[in-house]
Amino acid sequence: MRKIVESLLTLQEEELVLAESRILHQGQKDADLLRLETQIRATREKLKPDYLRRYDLLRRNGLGVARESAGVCSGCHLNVPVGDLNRMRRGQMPWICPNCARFLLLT
Amino acid sequence: MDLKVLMPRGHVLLNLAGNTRRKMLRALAQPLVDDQIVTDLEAFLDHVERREDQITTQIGKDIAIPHARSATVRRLGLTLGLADEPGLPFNPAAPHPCRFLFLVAIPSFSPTAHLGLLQVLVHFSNDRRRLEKLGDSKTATQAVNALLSFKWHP
Repeated sequence: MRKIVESLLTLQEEELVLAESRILHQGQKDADLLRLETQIRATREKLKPDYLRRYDLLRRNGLGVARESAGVCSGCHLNVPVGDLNRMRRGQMPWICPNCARFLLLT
Repeated sequence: MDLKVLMPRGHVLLNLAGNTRRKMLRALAQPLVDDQIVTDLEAFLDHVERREDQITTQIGKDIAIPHARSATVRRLGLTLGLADEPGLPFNPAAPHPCRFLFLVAIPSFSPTAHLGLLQVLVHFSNDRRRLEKLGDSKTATQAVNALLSFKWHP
């Protein structure tokens, strides 16, 4: 699960860089933006459709992936129940925040 | 977003110097460290350089807006460095050196907090007259006032 969430976080980061670059370069630097878009496509191709579908749905309203730090989800800033964290670490539960439903990268 | 809060006088560096990108960025980031906005300078600079390597943040003729998301950033931070003519070789591959460098520090828990700020800075940079007035600033107060006098709403 870690690899999947890390890949989704990479995808999210690449998308954010693309969004920033579109603001900064205002349509110029086409070659570099194209390279970024190609990179994003390559990252997406490595992910299973189910995870991508969920990720895209979450991204429509903001972030799709958040980090867990000291038991708190950085996406919703709420505590993730310790029991849920333990179950995620044991592979008994998907790494998804029970409060905001974002993918959660555990530390 | 209040530019006045993000850009106190202490976040303006006149006569910015540095013959490498890292040195320029270190100078720009120091006020953020002093104000405890950035907690780990070297780690933050690594993030900024990694971001810069993905795609350059140099825009227009002589402006750069380096930025990075980092767990070492506690809240959104902004500094401005003004270099003397002809500018500094921030991006050696670019045809022009940089005179105006805005460094943006983004907390990793709020990774899109800076997008509005980027838009404001880009629109400010498009106004050559305002940019030249900023470049003529002799004090940090003048530079801050030149920036704050710009009002742009999306």
